[in-house]
Amino acid sequence: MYCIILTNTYIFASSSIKRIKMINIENNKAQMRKGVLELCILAVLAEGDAYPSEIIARLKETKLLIVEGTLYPLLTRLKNDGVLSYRWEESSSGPPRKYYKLTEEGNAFLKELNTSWQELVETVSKTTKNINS
Amino acid sequence: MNKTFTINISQIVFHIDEQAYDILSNYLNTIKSYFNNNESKDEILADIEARIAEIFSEKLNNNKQVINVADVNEMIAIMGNPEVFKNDDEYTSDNRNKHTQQGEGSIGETKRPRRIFRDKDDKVFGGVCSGIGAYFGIDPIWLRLIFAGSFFIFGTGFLFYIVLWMIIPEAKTTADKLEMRGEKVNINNIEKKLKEEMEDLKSRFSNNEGIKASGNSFREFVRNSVAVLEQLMIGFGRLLVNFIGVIVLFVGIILLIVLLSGIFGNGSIININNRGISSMDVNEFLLSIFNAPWQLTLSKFSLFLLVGIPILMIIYKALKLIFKTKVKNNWVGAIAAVLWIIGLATSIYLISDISDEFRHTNKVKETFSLHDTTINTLYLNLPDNFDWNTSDEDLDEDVRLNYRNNNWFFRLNNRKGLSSQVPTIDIQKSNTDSFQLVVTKIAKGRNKKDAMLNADALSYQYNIKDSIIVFNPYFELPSEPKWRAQRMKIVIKIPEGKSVFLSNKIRPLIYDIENVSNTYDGDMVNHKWTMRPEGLTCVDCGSINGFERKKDNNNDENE
Repeated sequence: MYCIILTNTYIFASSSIKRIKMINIENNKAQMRKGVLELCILAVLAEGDAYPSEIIARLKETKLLIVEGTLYPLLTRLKNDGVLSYRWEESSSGPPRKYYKLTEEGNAFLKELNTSWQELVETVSKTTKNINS
Repeated sequence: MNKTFTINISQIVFHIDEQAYDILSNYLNTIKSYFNNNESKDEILADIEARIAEIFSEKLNNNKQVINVADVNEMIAIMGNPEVFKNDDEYTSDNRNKHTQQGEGSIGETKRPRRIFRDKDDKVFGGVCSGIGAYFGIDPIWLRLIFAGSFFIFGTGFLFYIVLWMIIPEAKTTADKLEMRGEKVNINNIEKKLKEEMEDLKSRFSNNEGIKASGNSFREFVRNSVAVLEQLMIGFGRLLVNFIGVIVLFVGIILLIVLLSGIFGNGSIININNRGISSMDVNEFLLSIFNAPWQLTLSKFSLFLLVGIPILMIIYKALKLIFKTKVKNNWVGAIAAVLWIIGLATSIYLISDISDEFRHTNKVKETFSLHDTTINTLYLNLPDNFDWNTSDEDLDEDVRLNYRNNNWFFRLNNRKGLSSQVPTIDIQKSNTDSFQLVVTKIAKGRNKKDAMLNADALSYQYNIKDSIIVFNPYFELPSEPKWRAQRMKIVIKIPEGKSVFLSNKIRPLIYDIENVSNTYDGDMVNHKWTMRPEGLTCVDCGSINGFERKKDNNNDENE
């Protein structure tokens, strides 16, 4: 009886270690994607003003965006943070479009974000060299 | 022909067919409830609707003027379901603690109602415990300990786990995983949900909606009122159903434990009498009825199927009611039915096989005549050292079961199975002029010969010394006894003019002795009875023979 209980506890313990690992991987992936997505949206807008569908078209190939629905809350938040501004433009094929534009603040934010991203890439690739080689 | 609604999304008019309209409005409602706690809810929704309008516009041309289900589904594929937004924007399912503590101000605040799933990411066997743990907010380790412990209650935990495994679906998609950790279902939620519905109704009524069926607002209003009422009824109904489900579940589990303990446990037939409490192992008792040990095993197996399957199905249905899982296990019912029928068939086989053993009755008679004609009165007694009320060293009974009237069967100390019974004694008139003792052994059997062999195997001893017959209070079954309704009748035949004295001790043995005064058996003891031409007559009872039992039922009635 004792023996069985002890064995079970061992199973429970090992499974919870496994769980922690799984959570962190999923979470980290999501966190990484989230940070990078913002940077990429800003980068697209740095090339010129765009409305959501255009941004999506640019980002589609990167696999950062899975569905369009994700973009709208994100854009609204960036706008509320003062990073973006927008203007309305008539469209020939539908309702008026919201064209987003980087603000002054947004430009500075993008630069800063980009710098830290580059640093990050460098540090990360240095640190992970042993894994990749 | 399809009915078409006219809707306006982002100031553009669309024609949409009824089915597509339902899907669209459902989709938008989901998104809306999703962003409910977001400050910029209206703006995000307006943006999304604008994009929807754009997607729809692209679909339409001169030949195609109505939005159909395919268009809406395509749009949803492009825009994505809210669960996926969440997954894409931030992965919240695992920081649930953080979530409830500080409540981040971004999207994904409104959790979906919680549903039960098996958590395959955190499983030992099927992820049942972790799933239930997630549902009730308990650390799965406690559930695992409970299940591991209940495994030792005759395997109840094991069966229960299997049932849960069948009922609870595995969390496969991200949406499932989110729902697994979703909002707890309780009264607060139902209230909240109702409030939301009411808000929704108000806003629809005041035309603040981006999407509405023009010209149908009254109908819309009625439809929504009905929906709210429906929600109320459903909420109340669910509480009731859950309550009933929990009660049924508990009853089912208790029945299961009782059944399994009966089958696998060492049950005992407990007998409480004035000698104290005695008990006998159920298995041992059953083995004395069955022919072979495998029949005992089969009987347990068929009992388990015959009674256990319905109990398990009750538990199964109750769990489905409580958790409202959408698992479609049509095969469960079919398999249960097949197993139950197997149980029924084996039970019928066993019962018919065993009842065959009792089909025929046969008897063996042994007559003994007392040729000593000088004896006028015969004294019937039990051994001096024997007392019905205190246990005897040699004849210590463990258990006794009442069979019919005076017939008992029970086990003597240090023996296996049933081994002894009490014989019955009757007194009749002798056809000859000498005392006679007729011992009739009766038993049942598969056929006449079998029954006779069973009867013949009984052994009985008595001592005759001068005019005293000392009976053995028990007759014995063969060394490996099978209970075949064995009985033993002793008839003492008394010639006319001779007498018999019944001692007090013999009272439990005497059975329906005919006498002229119709005195009850219990009142016949301690008296001398003479055989007269009209029948057995009491010679020392006094004048009120027939009423004597009223004052004389003191000492032996308790036996």
